[in-house]
Amino acid sequence: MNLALRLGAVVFLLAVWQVVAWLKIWPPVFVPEPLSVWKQFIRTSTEGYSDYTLAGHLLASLRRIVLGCLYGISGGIVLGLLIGVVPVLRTLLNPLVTFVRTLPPLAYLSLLVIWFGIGEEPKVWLLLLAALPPVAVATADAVRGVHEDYLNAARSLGARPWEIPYRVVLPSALPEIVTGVRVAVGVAYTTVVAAETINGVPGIGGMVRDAQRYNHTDVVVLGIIVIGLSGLLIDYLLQTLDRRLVPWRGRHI
Amino acid sequence: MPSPEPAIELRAVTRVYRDRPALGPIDLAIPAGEFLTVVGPSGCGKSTLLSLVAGFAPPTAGTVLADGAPVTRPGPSRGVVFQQPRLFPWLSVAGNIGFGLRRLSRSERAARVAELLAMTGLENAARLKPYELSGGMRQRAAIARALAPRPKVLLMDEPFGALDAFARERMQEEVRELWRSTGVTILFITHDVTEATTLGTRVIALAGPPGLITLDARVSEGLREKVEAAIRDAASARAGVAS
Repeated sequence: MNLALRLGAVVFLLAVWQVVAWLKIWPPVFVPEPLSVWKQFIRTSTEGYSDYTLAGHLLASLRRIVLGCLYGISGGIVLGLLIGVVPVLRTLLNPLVTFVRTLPPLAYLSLLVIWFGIGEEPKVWLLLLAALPPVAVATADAVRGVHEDYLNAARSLGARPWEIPYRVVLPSALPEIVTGVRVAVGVAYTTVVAAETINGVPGIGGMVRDAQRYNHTDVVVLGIIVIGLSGLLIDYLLQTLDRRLVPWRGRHI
Repeated sequence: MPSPEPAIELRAVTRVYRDRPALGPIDLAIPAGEFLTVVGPSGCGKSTLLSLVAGFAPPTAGTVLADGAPVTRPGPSRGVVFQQPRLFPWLSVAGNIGFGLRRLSRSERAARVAELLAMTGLENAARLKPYELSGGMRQRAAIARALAPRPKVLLMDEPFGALDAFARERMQEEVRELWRSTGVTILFITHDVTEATTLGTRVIALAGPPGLITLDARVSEGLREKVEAAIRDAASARAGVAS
């Protein structure tokens, strides 16, 4: 039922798009036909575009996202733990994290290019900086929200002070951390195209950028669709991970 | 022969929260093997008493002794069962029970966990997660977890307050049975006079704040009426002071 509804919506959108293209209100440079986007999909998948196949572009983007998120999430969890546990660090670091979080990642891209050049490093750094704050904030809040009874229970059961963070605090905070990770991956996803506007080939963002220069609107649209669909897939995977890691979410215990 | 050391002893213990006296001065000795219930209305300081004995908070003045040694922090010699089960939701029932058994070898730990599962009737729930259990089973798992490191004293803070009447009665019987079979000393906090006067071997009634012992009695016939009178008298005396 749900699947039918979703498929129906997709078919309807495609139909509207096709009709608008047929009416030729706007030239194909503005509104390419679905069919020509499909042809570009076949062509970029087999012959490639800007020297790389569609899969090559997508993999390059995914690689940056995975690297940036891995570093950003690990850093965010450690930073969040420190901010949540050590009051002095909370006072010192909280404003900094909030400052970075409110900045649009593009704002510091230029700085990263000056520091790290135009290779892979500034792109991974940008995604790292985009992914870190949501995880750090979620972790810090969750750590402070751990109920005192859990800590007292662990101490009464003989847990040493240095065991408490990883045996009790971190797992207690897991639901919020996983939510933070989902937000972080989403932010990294929306940032990757921006990161790839400078020397972004191979990469979906670089491909879209090149296509825009040569008015290959069908390739631009193809790039947008590929980004959107792969994002949906990744969020689905993260939801599955969430259910696996935090089966107690939302249950009264 | 000198009398044996009490399992828990409080000497002139007081606790003040932000300039407001919450408890004491309290002098109390709990001999090993006793089942002591502490009863009083909400806010009388009985949970404060428990947290001082557990070592969660330090007394403002006086000394809390466990087996003759001052209590400075929580430890496995004093197991705690909270009002809510507070099982770790990321661990199974067996994992929760084994939490305090880190220092045992893998096989010793498994054997001890199995022993406690049998003792609390949770043999078939070992692999279940806390959110898959009923309220009574959760509290049983919490008791098993607290008993696992073989504490000398079991501190229970209104453990059955959140259960329905039927489950509460069953749990009361089971706790008495556990007390008989293990010989553990129990300090049991409750606001339910019937529970206090039927469950243990000795009752103290606490009135406050600041919490003071208004009655200290061995459990016997007619005790329930005495406890009720003690609590009533303390309340009216306070009302008299206030007016």
